Amino acid sequence: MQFRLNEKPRFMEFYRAVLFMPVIISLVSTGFIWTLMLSSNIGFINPVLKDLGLGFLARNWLSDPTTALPTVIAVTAWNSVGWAIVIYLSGLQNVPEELKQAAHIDGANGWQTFWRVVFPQLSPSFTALTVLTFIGTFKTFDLVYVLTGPLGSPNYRTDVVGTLIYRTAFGGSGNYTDDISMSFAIALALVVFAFMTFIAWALIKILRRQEIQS
Amino acid sequence: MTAPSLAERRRRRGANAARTRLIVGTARSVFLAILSLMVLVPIAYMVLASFKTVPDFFGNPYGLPGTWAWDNYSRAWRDAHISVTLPNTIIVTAVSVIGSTLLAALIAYGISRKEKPFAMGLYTFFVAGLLVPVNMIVLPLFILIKWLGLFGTLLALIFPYIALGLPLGVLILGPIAATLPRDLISAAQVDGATEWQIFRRIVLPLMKPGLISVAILNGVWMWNEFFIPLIVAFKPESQTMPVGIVSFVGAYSTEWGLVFASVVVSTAPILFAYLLMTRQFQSGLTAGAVKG
Repeated sequence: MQFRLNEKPRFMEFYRAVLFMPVIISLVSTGFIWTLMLSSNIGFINPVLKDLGLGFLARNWLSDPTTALPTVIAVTAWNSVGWAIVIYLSGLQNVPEELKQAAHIDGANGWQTFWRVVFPQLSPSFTALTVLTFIGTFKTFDLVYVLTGPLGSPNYRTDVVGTLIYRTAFGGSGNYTDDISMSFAIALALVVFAFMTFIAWALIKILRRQEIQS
Repeated sequence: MTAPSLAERRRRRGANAARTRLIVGTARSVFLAILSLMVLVPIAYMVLASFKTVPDFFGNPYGLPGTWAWDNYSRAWRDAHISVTLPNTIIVTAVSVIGSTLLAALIAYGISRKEKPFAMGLYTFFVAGLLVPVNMIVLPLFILIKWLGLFGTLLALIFPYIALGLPLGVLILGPIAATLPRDLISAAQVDGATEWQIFRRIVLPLMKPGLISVAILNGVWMWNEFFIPLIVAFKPESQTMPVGIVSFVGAYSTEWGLVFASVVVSTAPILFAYLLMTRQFQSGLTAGAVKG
């Protein structure tokens, strides 16, 4: 995908601009847009599926326990994929043209050229993206709050550490209750932070080792 | 059976390659077009939804609005309290962006004028702020703001935003400040310019591209931020747009037209700014990741 956007200058500027658009839209707006798109009775996805004769696929995406979490994940991806594309694109600008030509002369097809020659050159971007996406997603709160509520409904299926900490501190209603639950929530946040830092550190260690030496 | 001549074989292979290129090119365009539609359809749908009446939502889920309910916007202005939350969001974002960008520029320039080990220490100190996730500090922040008695004022947001904007600001402006031409600064000093004049007349103009990146980067999250205001700006008079919309939905869950009018009002300014300065937004918002 990234490989392609770097090649043709004509439409690519347009695609690049469009695909990056969700990145600047707030997670709250994203949440409401997709609440509407996915809603069982006023939505977009379900009526379209029915009109295409695929009515059996229509479901209550956010309150069906089997689809709730994958749906939240998909919406998160919708919001951030453009960011990854632009980071890969700036990495692609540093891939020397001669490398691609050499691969072509050696008889590699486009697919091989990308995976064997170009992608290894992108490994620093890959590392940065993996770690930053991990940290960013670990802190997920806004989207879950808007899409499925502070309780992570249905039946805590979409509960994440962000909503858990929020609930512990303020209760489901969002009102400050007492200092003890606040202290407990802060302790919880610290543990989560320690865990996240450790995983991020391990990820950097592992991925750096895979990077090509240049 | 005669073997095709060399020229014939070469011609065929050329034709094959051309056909493959065409197929790959078409597949590529179709793929990109589908991806773009996946982005554009929900955004267009949001705009359409903001003009729909409640019966329209149920009777006509994905068509154009039956009657264009322009009064959704005027009602949202009044009933969904956009009249309060939009000015709040504008003030908080503007003050915090200007405050944290200028402060980061001062810090970066100050660090660049210090001796090496001390400068590196300071730089690391500020940039280390990036490692601290907002989720972790927001609860102590709540206690601090409560203790300062700032609930219900916009300062409850402006102070934390300025502070949280500094790490990325210093990360981006630090290297730029380090490469400022020393001769220019010394020349200005010889001419009798004060430190403040040097900063305003020489340093700031030279840092301009970096300042724009920092302002965009911080401006986008400050405009969109939901978690911090949910915790420290919960009072109606100090709410910003994202929190305002969520609390309106909590109170009137069926007024979808008003909800989406509010969502459009909160999204349109930033989307418009993005369309005017697409490249700057893209490089600004990925600057931290590419550097760090």
